Amino acid sequence: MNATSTTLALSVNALQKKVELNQQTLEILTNISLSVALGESVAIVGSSGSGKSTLLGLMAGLDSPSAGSIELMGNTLSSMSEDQRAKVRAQHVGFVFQSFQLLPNLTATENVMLPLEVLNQPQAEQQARSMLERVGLGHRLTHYPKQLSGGEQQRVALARAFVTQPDILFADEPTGNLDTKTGSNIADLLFELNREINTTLVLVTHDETLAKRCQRTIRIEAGALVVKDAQATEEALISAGKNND
Amino acid sequence: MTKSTLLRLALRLLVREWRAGAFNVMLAALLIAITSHTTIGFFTERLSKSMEAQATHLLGGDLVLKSPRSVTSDWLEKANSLNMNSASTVEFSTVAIANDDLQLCSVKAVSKNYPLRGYLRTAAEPFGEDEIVQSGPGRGELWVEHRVLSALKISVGDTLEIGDAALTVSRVLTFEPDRGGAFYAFAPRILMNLEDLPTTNTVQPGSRVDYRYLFVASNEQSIGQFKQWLEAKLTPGQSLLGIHGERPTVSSALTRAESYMSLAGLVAILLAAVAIAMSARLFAESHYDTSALIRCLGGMQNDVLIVFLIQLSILALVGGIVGSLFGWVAQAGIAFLIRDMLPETFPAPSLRSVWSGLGLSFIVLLGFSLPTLIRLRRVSPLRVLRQNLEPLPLSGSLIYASAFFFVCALIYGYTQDPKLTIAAILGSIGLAVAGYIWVSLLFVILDKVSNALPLSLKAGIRNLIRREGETRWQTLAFGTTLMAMALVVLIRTDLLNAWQSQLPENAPNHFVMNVLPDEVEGFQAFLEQHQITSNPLFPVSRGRLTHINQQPVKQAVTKEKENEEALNRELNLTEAKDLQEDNRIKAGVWWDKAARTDIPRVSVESRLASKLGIQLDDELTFFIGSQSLSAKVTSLRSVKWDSFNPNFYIVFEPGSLNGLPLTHLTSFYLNPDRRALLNDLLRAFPAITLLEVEAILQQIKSILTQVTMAVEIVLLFVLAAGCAVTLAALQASLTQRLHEGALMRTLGASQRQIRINQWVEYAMMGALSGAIAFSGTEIVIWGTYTYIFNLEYHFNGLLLLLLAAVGALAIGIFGVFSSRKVLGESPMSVLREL
Repeated sequence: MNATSTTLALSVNALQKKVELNQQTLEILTNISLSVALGESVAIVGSSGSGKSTLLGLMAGLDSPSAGSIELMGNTLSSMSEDQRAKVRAQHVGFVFQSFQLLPNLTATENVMLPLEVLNQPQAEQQARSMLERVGLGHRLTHYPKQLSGGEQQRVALARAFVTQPDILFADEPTGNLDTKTGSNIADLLFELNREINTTLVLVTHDETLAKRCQRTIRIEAGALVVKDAQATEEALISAGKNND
Repeated sequence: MTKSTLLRLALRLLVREWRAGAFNVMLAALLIAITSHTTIGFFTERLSKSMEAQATHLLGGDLVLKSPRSVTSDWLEKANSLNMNSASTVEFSTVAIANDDLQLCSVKAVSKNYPLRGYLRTAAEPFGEDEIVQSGPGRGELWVEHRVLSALKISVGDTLEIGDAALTVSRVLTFEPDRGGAFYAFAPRILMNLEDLPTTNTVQPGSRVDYRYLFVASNEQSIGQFKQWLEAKLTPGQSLLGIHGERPTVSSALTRAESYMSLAGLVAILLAAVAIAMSARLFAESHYDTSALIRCLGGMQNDVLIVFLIQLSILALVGGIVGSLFGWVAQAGIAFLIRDMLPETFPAPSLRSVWSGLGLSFIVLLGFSLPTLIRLRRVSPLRVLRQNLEPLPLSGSLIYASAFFFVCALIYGYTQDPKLTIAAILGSIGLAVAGYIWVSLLFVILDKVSNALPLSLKAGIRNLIRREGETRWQTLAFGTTLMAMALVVLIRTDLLNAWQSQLPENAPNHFVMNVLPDEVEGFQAFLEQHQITSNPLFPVSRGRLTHINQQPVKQAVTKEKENEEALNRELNLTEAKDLQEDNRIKAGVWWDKAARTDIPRVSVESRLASKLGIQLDDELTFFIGSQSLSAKVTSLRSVKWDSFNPNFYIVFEPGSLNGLPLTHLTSFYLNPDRRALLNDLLRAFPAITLLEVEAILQQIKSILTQVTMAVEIVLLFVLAAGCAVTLAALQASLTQRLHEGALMRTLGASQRQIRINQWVEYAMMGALSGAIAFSGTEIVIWGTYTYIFNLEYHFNGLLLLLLAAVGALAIGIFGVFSSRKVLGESPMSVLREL
């Protein structure tokens, strides 16, 4: 690994995403370049349809770009096959989604065990239980998603995202489906866990208040970056470099 | 993911989803397929073992060698070396003498272990109570048919001369298992011990004698091996008789029942497979999110596929085992229910059906659901962010090609007949294409008609048309299901009718021959007086076929046909104005339509004609008494030999037999309780020859009853499979329908309005399916009747109304029942759950 890859969790260069729709080419993302330092928390904000979720998907390796490159934890995602990207996701990435994405037929514990099992980690059940206790769901271990409230479901999703202690966490509108109070509680928990585990956080939201809790905000409009807080990145890189020393 | 992780995950998901009911329809369809397959497998195996056992009784052994001369001892030694038992009989015609009275008899000398299969029945006196005996007469004894006693005016205990030997009549012979053939053509039977045969000096070099060697073995392999060995050694005139072919009634009923059960079983399995494919599609669609999440968390594409493959394999294993168990219980239940009709020892089934059931379970489940489940592998992990992302569809040709391959394999596996497989597949493709065009046409008509209907009806029809793509394949699926069910019911009914009419309750059980012309009136009066209904009396002359187209018959036919029975014995020749009811003209025309010729016209039984190469317009010459009679063939007929009505190879036009010696022949039914009446009949008409065929009739009837039962049971599986398809198809569009129903209720529609909409929609779809089913049924019925079952086809217009009504009612009830949630629960809870 070179010096950059040790300090950068994510590096995106001249990223482009086009799709074919009704025999027309639609450019969803245009020439996007950005970097996220290790341990940094970054919010990507923008209105609906601005392309922020598409960007998140590309950065997390869920999709491949039309042009440009993405480097995630030293792995060049843009030149990898889908199965290679899956391996990178398993090793480095955690996810939190707006719609929770829990498997309805698995209990809370089993849902949290899932990423541990993908990594073939021993004592998955034990780790899952203690993580659920950490998020305040020790009394809901054997409940199914249907039996949990929205806030509780998102807590299970947080437990699942952090249980593998990922290097980087991608969160897509994590409070979008929740009321203000529950949303705020979930956000508190998210940032708390993020600090505890020292995970890099990339958060997509249209909620400015939530975005402000991140160290840096990137704004995206019509598929292009509007504001890029270069100074903040630099500071973050310096601080990350210090940490690594 | 490691193998153990995948297995754990697969099992965990399987258990949860199983509990949640995600596999209900798929598993039910699989169980129906496997239970149907194994029940049919177990039962037909037992039935055919039992029927074969009974058929071997009709032969007297498992394999019979028929020869005009005695065979060398090495043939019997070979049988011995294969651990087979053998018995022999020698049959010939000779004159029996008692007190200077003569009677031409058919004598059969039997070895001491005859019969090897089945039994004989004898009585102490004519028409007395008879009993089963397992071996033939002892040395010095004769067992004779009652007509020997009446013809020679002797009783049991008297002495009878056969050639140079004087032997004692010890019993009256009432039943002989291997009598077979045209039994009423034979002279009365005398059974004697084979060891007495040399003392009679009746069999001399050149005598016309029929040697039969009966063989039995404990395993089929030895029989097969011996049969193969014998076949290579047979010389002209020698032939082998097996259990198929000797008795047309049993053999054709058996063949038809086997074809029917196989085809009906196949229909049940194919319907279940359709249900499996449909529910697999639903299952796959409901697992896109699971698949996307596993991929998002780092699972590989193949991990997803392996998880679902493990689940399917477990389902297949469970389906195979439980289905086989159900099959075993079902067949045992069936055997218990019809125990009175089954032989005392009904052979046990082997494990063969369990293995094939397990194999079929994997083939059906993987074959019909895998193509759809493979799509799960292609779900993009991006779906976790964008719910509307559906996996790229597999190329349609791959899905259809794999389903097509499995359908072909199944049909071939069941029929073991490449021609039938190709016919079935071409037929199905034709029906599918025609069905699709037909559905599209019906939709156009429906669209036009709906404008004129009241609003409540219109809404239901609009719903159908709005979902045209989906409704089209659902209608086609219901139509095919209804068609399959209609076919199975119709064919069953016609098969049973054919069998029942073949052997009605009062099928003749007595034959009477040698009624002299001046006795005809008195004989008919006797029958009328005792309220015995009989067939007409047919005039009969006994004669031999001597020439075909002025060429001596032995030169006219090929060498191997020289020993054809019809050429070597006298035939019963008759004349008739009308064609007998159960005869059918195969070539040429009956007298009323045929041109007059200068010589009499004659009709020949078609199988005999083809054996001897007789064609229309050939001239046949018969030697009757001391005269010869030539006639021109103007028609060839098929004859139902198994109807127990008098039937003839050769029928002349009326008047042809004038001036020739004639007697009359008929058959009648007499309730076995009234057998004593036969003594009166014989006293009144001592010259007649009376034959009882009650025992043979009962034997055949019992076999047909068993076959009928088995056929009815198979029908239940087809119905169950049909229900599975209906449920699976309705399930496919249920979520959307529930959603729309809940929305309509939210917007203020009354429960009544929604209920009417549902009924109209489902019933209309059912009625359309009925119309499709009708078209398909008529085409398939015509094809199978003409080419497989040899039954007559009749167009049945009423079926259209019936199928449309059944379709509307069945789909209506099923549909409204499955959508009951819309009305039963609050719209809010329905919307929240979806």
